[in-house]
Amino acid sequence: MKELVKGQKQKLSELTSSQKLTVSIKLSWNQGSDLDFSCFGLDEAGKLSDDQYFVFYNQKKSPEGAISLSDLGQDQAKFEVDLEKLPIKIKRLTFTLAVDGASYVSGLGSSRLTVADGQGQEVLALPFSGGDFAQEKAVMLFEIYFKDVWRVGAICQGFERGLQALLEHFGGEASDGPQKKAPQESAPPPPKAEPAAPVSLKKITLEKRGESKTVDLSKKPGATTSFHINLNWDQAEKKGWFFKSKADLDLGCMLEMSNGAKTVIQALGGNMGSKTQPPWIYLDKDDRSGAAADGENLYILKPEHIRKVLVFAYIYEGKFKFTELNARITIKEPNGDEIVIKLDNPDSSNTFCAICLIKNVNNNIVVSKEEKYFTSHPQADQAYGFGFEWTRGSK
Amino acid sequence: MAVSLSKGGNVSLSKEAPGLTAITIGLGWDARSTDGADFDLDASAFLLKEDGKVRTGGDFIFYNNLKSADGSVEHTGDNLTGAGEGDDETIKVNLASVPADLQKITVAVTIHEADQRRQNFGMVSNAFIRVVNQADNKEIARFDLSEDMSTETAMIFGEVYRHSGEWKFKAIGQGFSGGLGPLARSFGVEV
Repeated sequence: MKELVKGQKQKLSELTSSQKLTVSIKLSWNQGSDLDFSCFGLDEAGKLSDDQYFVFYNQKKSPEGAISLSDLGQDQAKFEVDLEKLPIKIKRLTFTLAVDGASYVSGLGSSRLTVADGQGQEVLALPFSGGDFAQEKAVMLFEIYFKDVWRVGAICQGFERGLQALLEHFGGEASDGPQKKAPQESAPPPPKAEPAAPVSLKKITLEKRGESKTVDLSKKPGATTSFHINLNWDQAEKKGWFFKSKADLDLGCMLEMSNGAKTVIQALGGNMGSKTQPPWIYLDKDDRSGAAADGENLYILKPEHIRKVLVFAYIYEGKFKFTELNARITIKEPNGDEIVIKLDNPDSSNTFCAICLIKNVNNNIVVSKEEKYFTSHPQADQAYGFGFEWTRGSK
Repeated sequence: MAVSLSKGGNVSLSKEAPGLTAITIGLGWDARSTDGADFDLDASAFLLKEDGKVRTGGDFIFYNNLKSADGSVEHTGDNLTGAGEGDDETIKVNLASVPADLQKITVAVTIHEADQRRQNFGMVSNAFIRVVNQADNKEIARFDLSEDMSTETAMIFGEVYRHSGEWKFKAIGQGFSGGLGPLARSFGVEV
């Protein structure tokens, strides 16, 4: 088995004749923050011209199945690659790693990427650790690329900004860098050619607890940066002895501003927040029946001023259980993308659910799925360390 | 139409460009696209005798000695980042006035502070060496050596040499362990 070091290249045929490869990444990581493993299938120019070849947690397979992600864990991932099935336009597969939160790739312990052939025989290993990286949050680890023949290369280089920087690197977004190869004809360039479509991450579903999505606020100067969080659930009715009752699920949040101010916004107790003054977060209505098609809505108008917001739902004096409601929230990001979080591990005894945590990390908004159930508000507060004083309230 | 060479290949410059008297050897690479320390690549030329050694230290042309004593070989200066299209560094050679006791001009590129910055040629993309006719600015020969580069920190890109009364160019693409100092010593330069 061949060991590669950073920068080293090799013809694939010198390692194996197999066209079916398994790229496994195993990390030693104890920093707590989440890791994103991705494989970018790039064209000849090194660009992601087809989004379907961005294989990651939310798109685990390329259309024909030539690249697939399996065995995705907290600190490991496995990509199955079949070079024969890969369309001719894909010339380069770059395997990347991005870290969330305040951590850097340099926090890695002794880690390893290995490539096995179709028989499961390991043919190549790339050992790496934090010392191979500087202040980088998203790095290209390894690539399999076609130049006359298939080749492999150890890269281990990346970007200080996270996954977004990688997407830009591969996405061919307009660059002000040095002009490459001016076209032969002397005709004036067309007025501002359409930049290659930026990668769309529309409709992301955060499936697992702890899974997260980062939204970079600094990217969109002048544009709206507000988040719209919608809670909805299926109508349920219970026939009692004399009366029918409907499920009443309430949306709310515990929040901490960047200046340290803390509050709880929820219908219970009547603090609906404010549109015009801090915390610039508000609830638009209390839908007691779930009858309104649009459920309940919470708006975060100025996410740049928050430190963290815990979005929760609770069942108000109802006879209902989360298991009966099929509750879900949809978060509309400033750029129009949607993050969907379903409560798909509902708890039949607790009536309070911490659904997701929205944190501001260096002006990146990180949304992570929590879906943790508690008996009451104070218990959740304790778990998330806000430190409120609780009194009984009613609406 | 320029001749595109692969590793080990050679071409007669005199045949490709009859009447050739002066050439520019252009060297290029792309600046790094990722974050981190820039790559500072330095080109140098060794003016060598039949035995593969320099006559004196003055035959080692590099960023601190940009011109040979007789003026026939001149390095046009250091580009610190590799930014910009085309040649990053160029070496001008007046073939007609290269002293008769010199047999070849070997062109190498080294990565400055490679060890400290933990860099190697495998991390450098789109590297090439080309030979341009100064009379008409036409490219005579070119060697793209990206796929021939891996963990080296010093590389001999190519050489221009005399052969049966002609000038020829050979694509070398050979790595050399150690930096510029050891490379220079191997050519008989006392450093």
